[in-house]
Amino acid sequence: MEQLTNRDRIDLFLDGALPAEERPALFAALASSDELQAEFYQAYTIRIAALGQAQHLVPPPALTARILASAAPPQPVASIAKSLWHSIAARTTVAVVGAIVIGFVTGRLTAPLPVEQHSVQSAFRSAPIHSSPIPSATVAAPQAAPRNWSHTPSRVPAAPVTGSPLDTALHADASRASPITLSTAEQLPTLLARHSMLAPRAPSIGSSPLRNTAPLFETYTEAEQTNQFVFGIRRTSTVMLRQAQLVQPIASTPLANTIASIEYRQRNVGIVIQAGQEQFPIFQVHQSPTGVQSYVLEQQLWWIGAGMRVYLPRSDDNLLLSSFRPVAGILLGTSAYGVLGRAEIGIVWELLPHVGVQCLLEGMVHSHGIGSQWEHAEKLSASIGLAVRF
Amino acid sequence: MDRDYALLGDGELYSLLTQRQHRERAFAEIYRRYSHRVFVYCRKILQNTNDAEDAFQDTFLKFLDSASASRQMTNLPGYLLTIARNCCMDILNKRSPHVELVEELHGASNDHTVEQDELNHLITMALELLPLHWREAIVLQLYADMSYQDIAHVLEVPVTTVRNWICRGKQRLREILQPYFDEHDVESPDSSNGTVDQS
Repeated sequence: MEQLTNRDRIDLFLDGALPAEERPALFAALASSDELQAEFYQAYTIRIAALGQAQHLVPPPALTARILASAAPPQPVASIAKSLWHSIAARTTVAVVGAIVIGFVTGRLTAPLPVEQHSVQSAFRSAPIHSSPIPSATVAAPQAAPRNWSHTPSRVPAAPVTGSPLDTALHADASRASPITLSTAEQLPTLLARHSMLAPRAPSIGSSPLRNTAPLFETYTEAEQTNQFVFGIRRTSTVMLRQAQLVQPIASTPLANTIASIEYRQRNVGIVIQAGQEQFPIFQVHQSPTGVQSYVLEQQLWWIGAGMRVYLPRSDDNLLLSSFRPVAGILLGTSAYGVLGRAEIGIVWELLPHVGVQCLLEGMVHSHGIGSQWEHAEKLSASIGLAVRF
Repeated sequence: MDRDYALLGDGELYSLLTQRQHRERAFAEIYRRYSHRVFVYCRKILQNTNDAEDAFQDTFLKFLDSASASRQMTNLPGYLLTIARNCCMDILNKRSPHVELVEELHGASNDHTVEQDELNHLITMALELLPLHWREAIVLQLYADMSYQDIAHVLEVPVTTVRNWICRGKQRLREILQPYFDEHDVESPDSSNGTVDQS
């Protein structure tokens, strides 16, 4: 054993590691040296300070809860077939496709049509056209034809300038006179009516041909309503979660990671109420009657909240982007465990008259009491879903 | 049943980790016994609250994952601190040289006096000035209250080396803190009516 100095003996003595045979030498040195006594007391002061500080260095209760929850037995995972059906992708795809079909049908049945198209279609509905091969000389009701249309039974007008065959129908609609009978070569109105979206628009009666400059495609232009209710439902998936490593796979349910919202929108500002269920790690402390604490990981967070959304005004200048509406919102709410705040930003694609697709990036901060402290957890998620407007 | 786990030895608790029905309770008991020691080590070595909590959590998660029925556990605290040391070294190696170290001394306890907080802060800063192996040995001995033998096991060096590191390190600490002692006239037990427990 190497020779110990008195300074070594002081440290070893305070650490309880000084051999008994070395102690007399230390005590003798301390008794004879004030400098050594000061050094002894300094070493003692450092030791006491360190021990005092160490007593107050304890892991936070939330951290303890997270770690102990990691040892809890995992909940059963859904079967492969069930998890396949309940997978986020499958359910989201089915929901989106289904809602688009419903929205498309609903939109076609209830949305207002452009005035001209409506007139043309109603004209053809009210004026039955016989396409049987009747000789052209038997054209009935010639009075229904427009005055400026040179009726040539054996020739199809290639490029109507001052009047198209559609005008016939328009006049027929106006007069509601006897049915029009056209020859085989004059079935163009029927074809045009079938493809009325692609046909040049017929000028209204009395209009100048120069004004007949309708766009090639008759796009749907919905007059923006000032007040409307928007019901939305969307699926969310986690992008970033601070304690994601502790979240265990859970049996999937149809409502897992689903958010429903109802919103009253007035022009570009809306008041929204949302409720959702998300997988989110919440740690609870339970104390048994014997005083033993146990930590339970709750992974399903039900929450409800209210807030507001702000939309950018729709751009009618750009045909392609007119149906995209950037949106941002904030929301405050509560869950069974604590309070939460959410912020969202994204785009609503109003692709159909009553149906839109919401794509949002959402951040959530959840605070809940654990033990005597508040634990804050954050989550960043992306969501996609549908919004139905009334 | 609650008290049964508290009466079990480290080796028995470790073996129960591999049994599904006992895993949670056995882990909770191990955590109760040694979490403080591991946490203090992580805090004092990393000197950063977030890093320390990450290392602390990783330590126990790795410990839980590595539980094996075939392993005979003879020194559970040493094993835990070895894992903690590896976790801390990983963080230290990844850490930017310009990272700001924030030691949250204030707020840890409300019953500390200003002088105690000042001394703790100075000790923490002084520890930063020591070589890493000295600092590790001192932290394990001074804060985690481990024996020289256990420290030698964790650091994988002979006991005499540990003793040298601790003695050299503490003397270096006193030299660094000498201005504080001079200012506060900490020279003899008589000046503060302190008594030294020599037991």
